[in-house]
Amino acid sequence: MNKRSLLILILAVFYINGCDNDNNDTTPPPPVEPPPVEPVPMDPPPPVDNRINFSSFVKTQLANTSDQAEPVDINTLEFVIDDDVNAFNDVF
Amino acid sequence: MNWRPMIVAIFSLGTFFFSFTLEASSHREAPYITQHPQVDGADFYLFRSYEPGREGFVTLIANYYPLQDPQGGPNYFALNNKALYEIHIDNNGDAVEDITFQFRATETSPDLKLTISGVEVSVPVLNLGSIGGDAGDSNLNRLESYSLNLIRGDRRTGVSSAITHASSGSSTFRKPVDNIGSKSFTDYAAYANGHIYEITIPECSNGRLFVGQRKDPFPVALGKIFDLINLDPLGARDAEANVVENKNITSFILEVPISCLTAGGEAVIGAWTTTSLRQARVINPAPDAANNKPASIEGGAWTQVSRLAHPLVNELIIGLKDKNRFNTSEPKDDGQFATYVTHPTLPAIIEILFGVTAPTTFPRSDLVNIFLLGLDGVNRPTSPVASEQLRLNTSIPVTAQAAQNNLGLLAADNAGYPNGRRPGDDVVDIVLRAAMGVLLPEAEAPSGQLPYTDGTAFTANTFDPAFPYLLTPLSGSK
Repeated sequence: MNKRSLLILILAVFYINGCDNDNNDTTPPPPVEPPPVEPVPMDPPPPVDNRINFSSFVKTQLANTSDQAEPVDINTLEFVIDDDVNAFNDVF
Repeated sequence: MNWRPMIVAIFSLGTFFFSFTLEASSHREAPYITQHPQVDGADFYLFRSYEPGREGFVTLIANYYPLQDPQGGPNYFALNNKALYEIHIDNNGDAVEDITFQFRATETSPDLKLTISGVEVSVPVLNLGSIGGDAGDSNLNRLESYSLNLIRGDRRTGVSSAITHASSGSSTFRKPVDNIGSKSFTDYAAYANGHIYEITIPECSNGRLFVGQRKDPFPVALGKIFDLINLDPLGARDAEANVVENKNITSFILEVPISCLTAGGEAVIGAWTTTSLRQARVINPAPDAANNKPASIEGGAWTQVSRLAHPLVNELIIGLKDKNRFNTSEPKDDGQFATYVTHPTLPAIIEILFGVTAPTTFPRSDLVNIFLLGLDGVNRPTSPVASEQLRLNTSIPVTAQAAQNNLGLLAADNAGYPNGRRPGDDVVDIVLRAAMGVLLPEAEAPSGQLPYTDGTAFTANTFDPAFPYLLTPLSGSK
């Protein structure tokens, strides 16, 4: 191939590559790096309260009265005991 | 078992508080149960019936609510009608109940009244006239009844069947009122005997049943024990007075065919008794019986609060920190308490107090055999799981009452404790001797053959020769 023909070929290649913006070209554009984002400080998650209201717990046991059930293991439970004198009125 | 010398030793050493532990073989033995005397197990007996003609039966006696003063009015000693009283049977040695006899009490009050100047007023007493005989229960202001169910399998999820009157088919049984006194009863013994029932047991032959007050069968020299063991543990076996002589107790007495309890050719059964309360309770600040508002409301699951098989285990073997735990535990989990048996403290304390020599061999396999496995060739099941149960070999012949030796197995009376337990077995003396190594070679237990005793002797002849065996309770007005 003489120099003229090679030049034409090269130009043709560049031309073809330069046509990747027309509507008939399905080649996806190269990915664009997103602009840098400044990190936003997040609030720490709220503490989980594992304490159980004692009155509610007792009422739950009363409601779950069963001759077949196993007792509830309370060793891992932490109770909050309130001084509500009316806490068990609805039980009676 | 009542290791009273050990208890006194503990007092003198100032290391424990056992002030009430000797009134029965197991009484107020754990901190929590002291708050619930109605469901406090005191003694458990298990033996082939020695009433003539009843050798094909096993008698089970569970005593509760100990230290009853006969003068216990006006309420006396009713059962807890919000509790389960149970007797469990393990008939294959796996430390899990196969059969449970479950008692549940009920209580009604006719609210007896007197007309006072035209006004009907409720009376404050338990009876307004004589009880029994022609009067029946018409003068009684509180009526106690109970049901008895047989549960096969797990005590809570097993198959439950009602035990019924053999004659009427009723599933409700009456509990006699306590022995109020001689003016209320012309013949209390006859009145109480009227509450012995022949029962129909599902898938079994008939048995017999009695629930009611009895005279406390367990003797002890209580005062002298707490007076720094003011007695001779190697003295005469009848040197001391029984200070529980004036107490009553409530007994659940059941006689069941042997064939109803055994299974798969295994002649040895294990047994223990428990009570359970509902896990939750709310106290009513304004009880109103007239409007069915009780003094408290209970609910939730049944929760075990008392456990008893061998005498005196929780009283004098289990450490103070574990007594509540023992009462809530089941035999299948007894590995947690093994050290108390393999390395007992009682012999060491007896050694300190009396200068004898405690056994030197550890672990104490002899005590493991007695309390956790059964004695080989006597009352050990074929494949036992180590667990604290009272074990009875139902194939060992009965010893007639007159021939019983109150040292049981130690005196070659193979029908006696620790092969089960009969009312006349002197479990205190037996266990004292076992603790000090009577079953061990002399080289391992130099003082093991000494005749240890608590000094309060009694024999089988102390008791009735027939069901229910335990004696009529003491009168409240005696």
